Amino acid sequence: MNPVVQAENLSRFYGLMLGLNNVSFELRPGLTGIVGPNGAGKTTLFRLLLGQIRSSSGRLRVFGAEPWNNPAVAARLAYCPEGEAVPAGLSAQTWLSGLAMLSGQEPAAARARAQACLDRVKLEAAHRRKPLTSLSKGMRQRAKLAQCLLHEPELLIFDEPMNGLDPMGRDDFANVLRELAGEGRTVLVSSHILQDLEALCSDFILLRGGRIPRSLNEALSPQARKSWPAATAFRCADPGRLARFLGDENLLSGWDLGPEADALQVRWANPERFFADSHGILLRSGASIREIRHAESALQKALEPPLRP
Amino acid sequence: MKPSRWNIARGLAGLVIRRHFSRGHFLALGLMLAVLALILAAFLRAGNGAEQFLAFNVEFYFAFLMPLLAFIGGGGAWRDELKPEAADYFLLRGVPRGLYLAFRYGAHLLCAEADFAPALALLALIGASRHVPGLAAALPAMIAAQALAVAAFSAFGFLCAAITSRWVVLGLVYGVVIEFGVSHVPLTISRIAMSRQVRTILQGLATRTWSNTATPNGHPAAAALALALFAAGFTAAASLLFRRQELAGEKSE
Repeated sequence: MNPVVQAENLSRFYGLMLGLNNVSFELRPGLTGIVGPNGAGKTTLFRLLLGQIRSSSGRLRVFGAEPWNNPAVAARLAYCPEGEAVPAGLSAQTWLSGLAMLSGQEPAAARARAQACLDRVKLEAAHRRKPLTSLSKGMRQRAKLAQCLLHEPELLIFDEPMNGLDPMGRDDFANVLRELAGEGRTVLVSSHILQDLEALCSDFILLRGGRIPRSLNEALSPQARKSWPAATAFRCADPGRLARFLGDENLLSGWDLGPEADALQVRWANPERFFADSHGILLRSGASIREIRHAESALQKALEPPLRP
Repeated sequence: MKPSRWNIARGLAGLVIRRHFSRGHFLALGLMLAVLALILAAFLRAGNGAEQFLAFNVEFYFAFLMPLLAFIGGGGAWRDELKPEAADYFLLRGVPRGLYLAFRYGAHLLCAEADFAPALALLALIGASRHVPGLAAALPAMIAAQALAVAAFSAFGFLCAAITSRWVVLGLVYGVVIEFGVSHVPLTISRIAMSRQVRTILQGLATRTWSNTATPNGHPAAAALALALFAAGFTAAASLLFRRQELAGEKSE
């Protein structure tokens, strides 16, 4: 399968400041996670892919063409930015209808398409006619996801899409991303919620200081990532009930309550099964969960390599 | 299949018009009209005769206030378009950038003309209430001058905003040098000033007050054409610039 994105020795500098430094990678259909600390160059990479900025050196091809200021490429991709800013004075329905018309659709078709996309992201009908700026952060995220789906893009770029979403919202969002990947589209997702990313993505790009360090990216290979966290700590209203539920699901090799009344530590017997559907399992448990803390995952280990003496 | 340009223009116009005519905007518009009415009332109460009314309008409203507001409106509209809440969504739909700017300018112009129409109506109403001679005959020229001046100064706002984020400073420097300086020089070079063209369109109304300035000469139709060309030229230049501009968006790392 031909790569959708090809970058070779790609660099971008802002004057003397480094944005991206000599990175090479390929993106193919499916879900790819992009991780890195703040300032690693994720947003610079996104803006290069979107054709909003030019590369300083190297070669970047999206759908076989240079993306910089290229409407033909832009028409085939979609972007969901991290920022919460949305246009003032517009409802979700109006905004999406207008954007669909900007993509060239007839008014009636644009309205129908907007409705269909809002249905797909499960934005309730009561909120569709309210001003976007009056919606909660989670609802805005849903509207932002819906605008990405309007024109059937082949490459979708999501910058921190899970921000502000409750567990159910994160689950809905993840399902839509999985469906998009299942339809053969290329989905690039950045997130600081590493567990979500690990459960969602098949491939990863790890950026650090504007580079893609080879050794760290090897640590994220599918083989290396099979080592799921061996243990997880929960804080919830009824830890005993959650422990019994997880035990009944044959997910645990052991568990401990305490030391606080709301604390539960579990050791996984089948972590792959749990992390493949963690949101769903926890929702079914009915437990009111306040905090989840995993033992270090492969992504965390790669992001925070041990300090050398 | 290529997306329909007509649909793109309609879609963009719908988004721009809905964002433009907010409740806050109507409040601001009402406030501006009240201030304008107060200024005119004060002018007439200060012992100025009704015959001076049109001349005052030409110098204050048509050659200063309306161009200034049209410039600020145009520049502000384009800078708003480069903010992430617009740029990250509207500019990623596959519309060529030059075309996008031209359509955005067109949509803004619809809003701006609608904004300035009540001000002109207010001038006409106050003039009529004071039985200003020649007002009815002057109205077509006033309407044409307003429509063209709004188009030209808005386009200049778009161009300045496309050049720099300090577009207000650029506009002020231009205004002082060209519109207040060169436009009053009694030489042909004064025709590069847009306010000079506006005065030429309205030359039948206010020549009595221009004893200290160059009396505009030239044909009103030529002045109208010049303003239309200014508008088209500024928009084309802004489009060309925008095609080469990078968009940093909300943040650049």
